Amino acid sequence: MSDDKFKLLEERKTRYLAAMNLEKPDKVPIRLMLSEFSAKHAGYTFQEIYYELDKNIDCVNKLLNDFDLDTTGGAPSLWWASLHDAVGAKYLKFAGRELDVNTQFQYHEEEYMLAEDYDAFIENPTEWILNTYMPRIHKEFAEPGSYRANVALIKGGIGMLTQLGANQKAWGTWAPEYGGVPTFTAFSKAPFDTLADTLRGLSGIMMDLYQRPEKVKAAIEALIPHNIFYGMATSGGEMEFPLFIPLHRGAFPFLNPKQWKEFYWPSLKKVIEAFWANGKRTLFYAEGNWTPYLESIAELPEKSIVFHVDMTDMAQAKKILGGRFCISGNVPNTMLAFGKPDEVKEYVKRLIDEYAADGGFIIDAAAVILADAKEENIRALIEAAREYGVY
Amino acid sequence: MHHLTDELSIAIVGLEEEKVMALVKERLQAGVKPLDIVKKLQDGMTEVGNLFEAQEYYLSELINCGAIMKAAMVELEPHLAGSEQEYRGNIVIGTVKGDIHDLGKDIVVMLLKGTGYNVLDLGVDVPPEKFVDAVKEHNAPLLALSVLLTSCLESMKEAVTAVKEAGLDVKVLIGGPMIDDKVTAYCGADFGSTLANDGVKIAEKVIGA
Amino acid sequence: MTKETLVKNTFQGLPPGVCVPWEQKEKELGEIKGDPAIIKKEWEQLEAFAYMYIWGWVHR
Repeated sequence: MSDDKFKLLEERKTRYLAAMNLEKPDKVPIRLMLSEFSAKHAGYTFQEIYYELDKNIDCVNKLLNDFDLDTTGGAPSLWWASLHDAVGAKYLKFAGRELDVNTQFQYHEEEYMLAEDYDAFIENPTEWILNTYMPRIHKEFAEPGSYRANVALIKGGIGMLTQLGANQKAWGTWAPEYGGVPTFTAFSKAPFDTLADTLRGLSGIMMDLYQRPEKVKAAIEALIPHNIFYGMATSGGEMEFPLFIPLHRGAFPFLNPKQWKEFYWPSLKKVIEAFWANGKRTLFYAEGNWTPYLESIAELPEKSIVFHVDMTDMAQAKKILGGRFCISGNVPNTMLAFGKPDEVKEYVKRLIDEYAADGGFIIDAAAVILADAKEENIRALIEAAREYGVY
Repeated sequence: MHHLTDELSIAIVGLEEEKVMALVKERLQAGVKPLDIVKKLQDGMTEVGNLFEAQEYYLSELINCGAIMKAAMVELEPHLAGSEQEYRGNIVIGTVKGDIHDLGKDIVVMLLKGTGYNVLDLGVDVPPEKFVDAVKEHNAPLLALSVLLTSCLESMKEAVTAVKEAGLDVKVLIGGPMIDDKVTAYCGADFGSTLANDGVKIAEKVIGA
Repeated sequence: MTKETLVKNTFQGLPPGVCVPWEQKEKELGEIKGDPAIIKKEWEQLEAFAYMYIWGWVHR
């Protein structure tokens, strides 16, 4: 590691950690979740980054070379399409197979778990997932015990470790050679989202809330220890950087306030508190609008989360959560795609002026940055953050 | 809360599935015209849309209400055969090419159908020419385009352009979480909204109540 | 989704990180000539990997 890269790494890390600890770093940290944008920037098709691990990783080399980012989310594609093909996974559609080579991957939602599966799921979720859910979502595994199914299991296990290994190896380069600091080092979900996203699907869960609320509660209760374990296991003992939870169905207006308090919040709170008790902070990536729930979120232990603002009212978030949790966000992604650099700069300046003065603030886009963002606007965001974001 | 007086309409608003189904069957047996029953269901659905807009109802209520409505329509359908259902007008709707998300679209479809429009749902990942053909074929005065991914706004713009270039007399409404005046202008659409119930309001404006 | 794929569970209430509990395996192994703690530790480590593979397809 060269001395100046080491210095850069230390500066960025100190900056990022200070903001999350509600302190005033030297500058407002810049954290951008650059996803498909980085494929476009590196000159790869989406198919290439979804299918080829080395190209997915190379995108980050180019980003780190070209942009002054205090933290990096890692390789742009979380999912490896080749592994999905190996098992015949149905629920993600990828560029280059079902979609055009430069089309954003997409989630194909279905009721992969049926209403009558609740009891078996609650009794033993791990076994139910392998026995019942996996044959439904993995075409190659449709007949457990068959030749195809056995091969798919072998390939699946090897594939997952291959992807994990490739990413770990990449961090061995990003940190020392580029001064790259990880945005997060672990992953989990809100128990309600685990049930609502991949298992019951949105319409399924919405009907369940009225038709079998007790089953929903029991399933969520059963999920809590699993979601805690999954988060801590993915962290692999790393405790400085946060654990990422993308939050979905708890946004306004999915659930009414009574349902939110009854079904969404208590289990999520338990999971986040457990992480915090284990020394792990949560990046509360609140997709959509969470304004009505800010008072409840304020109940979490001080500093236990970084609250990310997408469409939540930033002024309310600052008023209710400021001084308690670090806040990040929320340069609109439409502005990054359709706006002008001057507008972006103005927006960043205003965010910093109004919300960053006492520290505990990270500048970021509202959501993950896809290929529609213009490079000149990303540059304007970073420039403005550096120009106005000095404490 | 609302000014509804009919028991069936009120039951829909209250999401009382069993009561709705019982009342539908009861009225069919009593010889009430199936279309009148549909009308009462629609009144309830309209109110549910209003409550959603007023933030008294959430997506959970809306989706549940849609399911009850669907079950009631399954009961009514055999009786509707032959009787010409009068629609308020034709509306073509779909999620634009490159995007396979259907949640927003389905909610708008539910509200529009529920309030008496003939909705032609082209599904998801719909290429521009399919919108053009459907608008022509059904002589629809309103086309509604849905999108979730910001990266698909380009394809939204292509769909609007294709329809406008075909010289069709159709107003275009675009909907999605990131739609604002700027995006609406960029895509060249006539209306843009983030709110599901705006679909009904704009339909009323374009087609008439 | 078809009901044909419904399969009865073998275990009840397995804790996180466990697919086939060590207690079950231990019974099947019978007499252990060396240090059972080593075998248990290694068994449980690979158990956790299998568990993470299974749940990795749900947590997305």
